[in-house]
Amino acid sequence: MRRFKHTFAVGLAVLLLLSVMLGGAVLAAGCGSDSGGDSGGGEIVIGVDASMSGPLAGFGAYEKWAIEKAVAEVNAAGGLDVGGEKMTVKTVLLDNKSDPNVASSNVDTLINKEGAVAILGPIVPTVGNAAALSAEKNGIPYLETGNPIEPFVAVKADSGGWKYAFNFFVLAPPVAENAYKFPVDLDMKTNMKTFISVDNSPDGPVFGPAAKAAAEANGWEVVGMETHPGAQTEFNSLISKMKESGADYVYVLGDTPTFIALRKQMDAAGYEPKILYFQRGAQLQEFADAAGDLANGITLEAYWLPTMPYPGASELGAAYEADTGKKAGQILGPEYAAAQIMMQAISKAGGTEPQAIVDALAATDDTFVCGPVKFDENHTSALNLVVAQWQDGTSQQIWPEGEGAFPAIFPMP
Amino acid sequence: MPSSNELITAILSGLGIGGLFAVAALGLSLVFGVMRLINLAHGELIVLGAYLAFSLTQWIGIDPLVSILIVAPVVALLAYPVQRWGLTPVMSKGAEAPLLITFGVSVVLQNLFILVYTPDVRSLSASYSQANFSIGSVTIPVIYVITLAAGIVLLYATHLVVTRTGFGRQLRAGSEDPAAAGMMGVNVKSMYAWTFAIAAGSAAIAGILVALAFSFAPAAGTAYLITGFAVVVLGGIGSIKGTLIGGLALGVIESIGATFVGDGWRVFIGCVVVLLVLTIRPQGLFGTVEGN
Repeated sequence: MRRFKHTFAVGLAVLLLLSVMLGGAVLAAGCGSDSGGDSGGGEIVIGVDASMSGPLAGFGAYEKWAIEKAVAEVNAAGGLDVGGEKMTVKTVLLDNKSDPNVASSNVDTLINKEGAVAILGPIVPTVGNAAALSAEKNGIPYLETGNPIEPFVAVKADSGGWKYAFNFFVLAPPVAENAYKFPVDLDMKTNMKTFISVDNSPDGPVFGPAAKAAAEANGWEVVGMETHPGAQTEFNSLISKMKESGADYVYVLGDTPTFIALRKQMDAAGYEPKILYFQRGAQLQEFADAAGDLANGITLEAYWLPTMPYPGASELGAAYEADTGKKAGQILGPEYAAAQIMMQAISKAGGTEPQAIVDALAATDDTFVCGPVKFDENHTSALNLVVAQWQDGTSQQIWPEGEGAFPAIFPMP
Repeated sequence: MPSSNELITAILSGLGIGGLFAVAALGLSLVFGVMRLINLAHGELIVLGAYLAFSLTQWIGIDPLVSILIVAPVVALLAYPVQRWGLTPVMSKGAEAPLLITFGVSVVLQNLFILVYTPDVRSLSASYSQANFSIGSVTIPVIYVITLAAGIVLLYATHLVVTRTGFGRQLRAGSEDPAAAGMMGVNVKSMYAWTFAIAAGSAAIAGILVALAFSFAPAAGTAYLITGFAVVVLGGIGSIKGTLIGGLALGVIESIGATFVGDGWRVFIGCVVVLLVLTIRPQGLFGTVEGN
């Protein structure tokens, strides 16, 4: 018995130690800190709740880099001017593992243990809304992007609206409107039949009806409308329905693993619609890397590209590529702007009093690297949108046509 | 109402995915059948196989299916000491300790994947993973023929090993009465470790098939662990034949269910069927009732 206890205790201790060490290493890899200069004054802590692991980890990597860059630039310039004093900005990042419960508890930890005076939240409603609610409960200013506006507003629609949380991202109707307008504008010859499938995330009930309404408003016949689970990887029944429907245009809302599996299976099933529009999960570079040639010709919404005509957009994209050797993702611009907006608000508030920062956030009216941001009464601001397409591993604007736009691949190769 | 084409496609693709389910569940079935051990790290062993194959295809350009010849033995050899010196010493003292250790292994592996490979979603590609052929107006993806064939071949081979070889006899003896088997000269500890290693090797094969058909990421193993449990319970705990039939049945049921009522109900339908089978036959389709 003694030998058993000893073996068990040693084994468990070693495993737990390894877990803690590895977990710590991962967490440390995901933690930001003050960098780029020393103001010599006090310190302001901004908490960052990001998805560094789990299905949403692809977004978290961009979020971390963008926020740290924005903060490093302020610190390098001598710090943030808060009430006449230059203060160093420190970020503390916690990984929510793409889990809403962890996202929520992270915000508590950032505020109560790390002393964060404001929170920058994670991307995608499942984790974003959970984190926002936690910040609201704690009465601390919160700002996020990457969470579509309708699901964000809906959370507090029946309880007086958000008081401390702000969000700037996209509205469903313009996304859907653009998705069904660009083929007509670009004179893509199709049978004007479309098949829509959305996942069962909080985005699904918003984007599904919006896509249907936009399709019908633009003269498309909706020949199929389905819902698929977010974590699903087997799509042959769905693909079979798409084929049977005879649709030339397939619109799908889902995450990156969904799209990689779906695209491979569509190809394996010999199904090639003329237009394939993947919303949300196809915007990450890892999608194009994993799908390879199969990514070519896939269209998607684009709320930020380095080629957009906003101040600092091309420089930010170039800096990311130089620093990481990877291509700039769409969320990079909005996340960089989120950090700037929050720091600007703290500076204008002249201190860390939550309501003063909230008032300053509400008064934001400026053009950032992702375009104009001005919050409305719901604490939301909508970004401008274009339609992009994966072309040889790079996401390129194809609509509206004009400066910076590339010719569209049509039909799907 | 789905067309006949949709229905035939659903059945065929269900068989293909079912073959994959069976391969994914084989290791769980073996380990639980022989050792009464629930291996919570089984999903991560599946993902480990996918990552090792990914590395081999990146480094030396080897075909993913050929990489099975390297990856499966490597994963099996890595798993052997975990059972032999990590799990075996605590197995006779209750189910909690080995369960906790496999959970720890699962956490360690997930974090290792993130550190080594980043959290990005990956996939394996080969000419056959996107190829298809047609029978009449029904198009069949080649990868599903491969997964179905892999399921049948692998599970039949395992069945033969268990029922027709000396190792299989030792395995069954050690499973039914470890003490008696030990007195008859069976090295039960070593036999347990080899069973765990074979189970890990089969998990690695499942991982390569998953990566070819779908995609994978550090946390992807949990979904296959849950599916594996459903297959093992449906087919009957410890029954190799039951694991194959359970896998195929679950794949076809989910696929047909999705065709009739929509993809959103796929997993729900699978769960309902598993619960119904358990209500009628608690030991599963091919399981046996343990003696009192």
